[in-house]
Amino acid sequence: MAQPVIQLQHLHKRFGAVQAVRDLSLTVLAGECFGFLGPNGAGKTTTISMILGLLRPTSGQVRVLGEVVTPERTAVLRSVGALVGKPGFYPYLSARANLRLLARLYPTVDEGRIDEVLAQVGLAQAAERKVKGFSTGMKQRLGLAAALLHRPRLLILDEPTAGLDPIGMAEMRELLRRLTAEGTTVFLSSHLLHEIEQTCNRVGILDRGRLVAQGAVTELLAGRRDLEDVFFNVVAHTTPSHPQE
Amino acid sequence: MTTQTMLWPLLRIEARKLAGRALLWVILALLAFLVIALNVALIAALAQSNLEGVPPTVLASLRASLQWPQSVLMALTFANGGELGGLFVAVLVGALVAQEYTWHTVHLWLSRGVKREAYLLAKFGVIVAALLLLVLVALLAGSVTTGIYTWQATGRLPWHAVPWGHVVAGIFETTLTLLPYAALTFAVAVLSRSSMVAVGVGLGYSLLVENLAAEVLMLVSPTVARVVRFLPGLLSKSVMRAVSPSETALMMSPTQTTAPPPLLSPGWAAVLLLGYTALGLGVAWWAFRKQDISA
Repeated sequence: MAQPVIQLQHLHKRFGAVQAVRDLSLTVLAGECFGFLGPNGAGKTTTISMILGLLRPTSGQVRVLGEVVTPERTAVLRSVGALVGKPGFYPYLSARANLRLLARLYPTVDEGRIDEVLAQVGLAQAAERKVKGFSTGMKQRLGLAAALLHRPRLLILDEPTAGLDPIGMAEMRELLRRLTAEGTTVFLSSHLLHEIEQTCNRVGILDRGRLVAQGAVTELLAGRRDLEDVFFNVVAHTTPSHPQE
Repeated sequence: MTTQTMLWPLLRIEARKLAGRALLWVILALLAFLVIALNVALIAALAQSNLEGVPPTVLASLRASLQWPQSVLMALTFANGGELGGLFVAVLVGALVAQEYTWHTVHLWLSRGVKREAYLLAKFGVIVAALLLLVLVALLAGSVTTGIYTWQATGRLPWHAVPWGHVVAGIFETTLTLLPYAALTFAVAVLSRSSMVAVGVGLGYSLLVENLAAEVLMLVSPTVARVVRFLPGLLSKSVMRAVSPSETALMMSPTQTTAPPPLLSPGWAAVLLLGYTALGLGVAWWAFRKQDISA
């Protein structure tokens, strides 16, 4: 049986009066592509931020690759690649210089690997350009390159196709399929149902901080037209404008 | 990877980030320009013929302070925390620390398993190196300008008369006077996550609290004056008195509206400056440890 790579146990996160994540428990196994679905404001980015030790859970536990993660205990995250929210880079440096900075954290990453990931995300031609001149889509591609740089065992992507054109989105899907086939575990957060359906083998659906459904895509689709149908069925109470049958 | 083993790569990363910042080079260029301009203005004022009212001893002291060997030590006083240095440090540190939040680059490092304490230590370590650079630029700009004046006035450059050991110690002592300003701005940048707020508080403290409010309060009562000498500005002056005694006195006299309060001994002042620095860093560390870094 595949090992658990991410384990969330009774995770809660409260910001003042707002309960962003409520009693969230889920497990992602090695080698799978797990789709993390939910409407805007459902708590997806908050959950990912807790997995990455950026936010402290109000209660509950996060384990990554078997180790507990808290803001003080993040050593295991060296084996994780992540793209969360708006990708952060130094605007006054080139794409290559930004990746070189990150590479200094990983002794195994050399200049050849930087070239490789830049080519993988389609930024080879823009490698020497300063990031301040990049479009949103280009920054997103660079964010993915940074996440892939050290060949992580686990890849956590939060809305990775935001700002990408249709070609970029197709390339991203293809890249994720290839990485999963190579054994990388992918945790993909999105509100693009079609994207998740095409890429992932298991999904969890979050609504107002609660996990309202999870399972294999094939199981969830049983008796349903598509993942959109599943999604609107479980989060119907929060989306009054959803398409009716 | 422990904090110690992580620190070296992080220091190299921070140094590379700093070297790429145009802001650092602009600040260094501006400081050099101001030091040169101030020295040239003083030299030009001394060359004027209408100085009859000025006592000859004061004129002689001023001339000596603008010529080697004295002027080499005086160059350091421009960069100290109570003078131009404090202002430049507020701008530099505020931008360097707070922009990591606005650019979302704090997330980049912490989500890769970089320990929070290592990140903070490396950042402050490189800031200290930048402060040292600031002091060296002031020293170089002042020494070259007054060196040229010395050569013109005396026909020689008394290289051997310069107390080089004292100059080296002075470089570190002047850097020490900048540390509390760096630590204060550092803490405000971490707490506020805003470069505007951090720079504003840093500059406001230097200009309004230390220069304006302290001067006014010193007029109010001798008791207040005794308290004011514990502020970093006057502690810096105490330390600088050890670096360049005559020049410090010269720099204070033209603007001082009241009798200067008795300064602490340089040793105690240095200890207190380190204490303020530790306090600022402690606040930054306490806040950063607890901080939720939202994506």
